[in-house]
Amino acid sequence: MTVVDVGPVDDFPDRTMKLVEANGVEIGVCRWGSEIFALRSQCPHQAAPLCHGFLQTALSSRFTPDGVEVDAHAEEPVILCPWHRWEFSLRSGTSFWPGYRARTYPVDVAGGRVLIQLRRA
Amino acid sequence: MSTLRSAYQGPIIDIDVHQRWRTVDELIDRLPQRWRDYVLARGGGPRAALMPAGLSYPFQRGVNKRLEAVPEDGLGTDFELMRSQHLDAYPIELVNLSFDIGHEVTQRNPVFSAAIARAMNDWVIETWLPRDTRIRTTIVVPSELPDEAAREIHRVGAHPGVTAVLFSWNAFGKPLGHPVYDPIYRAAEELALPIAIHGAAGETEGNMAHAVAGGIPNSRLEWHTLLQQPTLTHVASFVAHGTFEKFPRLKVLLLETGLAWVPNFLWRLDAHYRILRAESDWVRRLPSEYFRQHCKLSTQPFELTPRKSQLIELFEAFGGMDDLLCFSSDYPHWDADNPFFVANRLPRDWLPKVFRENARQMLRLTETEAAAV
Amino acid sequence: MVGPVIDACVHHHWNSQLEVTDRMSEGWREHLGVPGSLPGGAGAMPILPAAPYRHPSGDYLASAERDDHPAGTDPALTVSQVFGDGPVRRAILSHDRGMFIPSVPNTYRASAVAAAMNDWTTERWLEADDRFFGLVVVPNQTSDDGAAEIRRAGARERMVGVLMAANGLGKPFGHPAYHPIYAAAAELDLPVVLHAGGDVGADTLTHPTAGGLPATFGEISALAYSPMMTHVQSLIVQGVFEKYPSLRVFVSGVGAAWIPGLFFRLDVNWRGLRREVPWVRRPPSEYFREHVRVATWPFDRPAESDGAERVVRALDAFGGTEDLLCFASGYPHWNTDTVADIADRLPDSWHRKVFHDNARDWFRWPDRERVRPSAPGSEGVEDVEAVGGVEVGAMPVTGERDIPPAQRFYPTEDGREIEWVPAAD
Repeated sequence: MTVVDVGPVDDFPDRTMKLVEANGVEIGVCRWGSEIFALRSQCPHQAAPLCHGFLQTALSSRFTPDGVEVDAHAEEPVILCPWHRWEFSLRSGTSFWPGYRARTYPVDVAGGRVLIQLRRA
Repeated sequence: MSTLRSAYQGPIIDIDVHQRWRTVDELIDRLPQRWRDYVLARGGGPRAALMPAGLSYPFQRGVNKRLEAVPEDGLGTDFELMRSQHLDAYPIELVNLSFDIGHEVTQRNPVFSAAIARAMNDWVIETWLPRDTRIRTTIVVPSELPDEAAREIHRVGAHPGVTAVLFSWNAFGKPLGHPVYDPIYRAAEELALPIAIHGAAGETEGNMAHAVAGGIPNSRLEWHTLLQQPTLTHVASFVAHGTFEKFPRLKVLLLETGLAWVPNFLWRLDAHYRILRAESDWVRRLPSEYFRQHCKLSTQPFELTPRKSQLIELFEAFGGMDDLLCFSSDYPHWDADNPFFVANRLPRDWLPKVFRENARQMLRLTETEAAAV
Repeated sequence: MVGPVIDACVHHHWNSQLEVTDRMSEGWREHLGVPGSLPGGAGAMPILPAAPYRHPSGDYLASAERDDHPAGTDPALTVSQVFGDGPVRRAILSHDRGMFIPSVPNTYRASAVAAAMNDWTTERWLEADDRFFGLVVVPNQTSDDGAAEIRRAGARERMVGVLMAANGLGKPFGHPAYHPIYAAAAELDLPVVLHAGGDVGADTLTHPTAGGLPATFGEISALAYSPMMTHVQSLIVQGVFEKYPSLRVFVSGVGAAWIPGLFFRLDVNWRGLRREVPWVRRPPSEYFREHVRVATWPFDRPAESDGAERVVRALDAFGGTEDLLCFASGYPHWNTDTVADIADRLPDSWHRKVFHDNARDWFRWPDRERVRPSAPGSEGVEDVEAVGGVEVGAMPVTGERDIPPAQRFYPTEDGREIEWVPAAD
């Protein structure tokens, strides 16, 4: 396991995707409130630079007695790919509908620094 | 460079790449004085939009491109971006430009439409072709004036960088086999240029015919999914009107319609062979035979099935698809395909045909130009 | 030999329109006129619009024609030719040119004729043989009238579905204007039948093909599946099956080989464009598999000698198609399919489902247990923390930032400040 220090927490403004390079891989790092997410910037669909896309929140739908309701989840950020606009969870890397998963990395904050754990694939 | 490994390492001909001017001034400057005055007076300024009314399915945040292909100032198609993101990122031998589908010629004034077509062709020949030896281009024509369109094909069609005639407006709202359009096909055949039909382009923007059968859909998702529908009608029309009997060397390139519609469509047409023949004496062969001899399709937007084998199974049920497909990326649009991704979804022995040989049979690539690459 | 067969699409029509119009009110009968009151038999207006495309060698099986009866107009002949001593046990009468009625420009006449047609089907046809079942023709230009007619005629137990027929409003069938019809159909547990040709009539506002009107019958017939793709997609994408979760749909007259092509594109497109229609919760093909069944007629016939195998391979590429198809003959159309031929073309393992079970499960047979209309909410609710629910048709906030009113100005090169407007060029 390799741990990469990508800078002080203060360098990561809230709800903003910031691109860093670690071991030759482009990674999108995004602070979302008290959490920090890290996602490899490569779309599992066609290898687009994923983290250059639109940052939004997850959108799900469900039945209710009054009809289908669509819910936006403020605590669940997703990135919409800059190419085909497919969406991936920053937390899990999963696509909105199963079948594709972007690579995510565990993130720790220690001594005010953001540390990304790069594991062997 | 794409981070994908590709099953195909050979040279790539990309038959559908889109280019647009940074500002419309580039076009207006190439109009005759009379039409410059008209544009400026009509719009009240040099940035007057040339696009006539059409169906409106605007994209999320108004961006129809891959986000990284949007230039910093947001204007037009940037050649340097195209070079770094596409031409140099893959082993591209040639790209074939097809404007931003060319809908500016869908003017209600046919004479203005003809002037714009000439300006667009001059613009692409003067500005884009010299930029890189890998660039080739389609030309646009004013289809509402078929004889004028034929003259425009003769005016610029001999240029060695020109590969095809982009039929960007179905001006009469008739399926394209209608004989009113024959002068265009005659001129194209004379110059050995294929006709390129871009999915629903001539219907969506020109709105003389419906882009979708059965009613105008509510969403871009629905409209975009059915981009192939006008193309179906046009191919059936070429068969029924004997277009390929009248112009036996004419080729037709079907752009941006996807692929999975092909088997069902041609099976249905073939099943109607005897009826088509009863109604039209000049239908002498099975529709699928005309199709296989005269038509090819761009691969984009490439269908993605849950299992890779599903799409290939469908193709193989039809048979011979490897001779019909020409790779296209659709760069820089939002739904553009990565060539390596497409290569990895197709059978390996199809790849030299799909990425190069079929396009070489289709586009008019002159010997000298081909040698220069 | 196949077991019992349900024929999900047989066409019936009138020999004389008086069979229908005599079931209308006195006022309407006067309005329509009396045939023979003018020389040469004239004196009444025709109730049908013209059919603009005709088969060059006849629209119907020659064997179904009789000197005194055009094809499909004599219940006794239809009984003998559809049932005979063959395996067909039930047949669903699906109208013929009568399906153009909902789109005639006089919307009140359309409603009145449709109601008379439903009475005519019941009295002239369903009483002729107890193996016949009917579809309620719905005057769909005025969907509240349509819903009322479904509740009236659909209460009859041998009406087993609702025929959407011609496209009266010129919109894809998922358009909200049509939703009251689906509410009524779901309420009565009646599947909605979409039949090829609903966009062909001279009176419809839509076009039967994209890209212009073809010149010949061969083209229009080969392309008949174009508008059907539009309608099926529209029902799914415009949330009809979200609003009416128990609603069932049956598609008739366009064969089946279009299914893989449509859903291979639509499912992948949905991944990227779903935020435009966020109420579409699942891949569109899943709604299709749950809510739509498709008639085999006219079965797809590639020209090659192994054509039947090719079609089955194409359907297998989509997968699970044996659960979606229902045999239909299309009698007495020129392209009528026979049980024996379709049995030859389909794998034996599909026969029981396609010839019988799928249709048995789908239509509202008198001996089928009624399904109570499920209100939205009857399916599993996901455990989610909702922030501001939004109904179908509304748009939730999903961006990373607040979205303020966005008028803004920016400086130009020559020092002016100009307001941002969408770039048209």
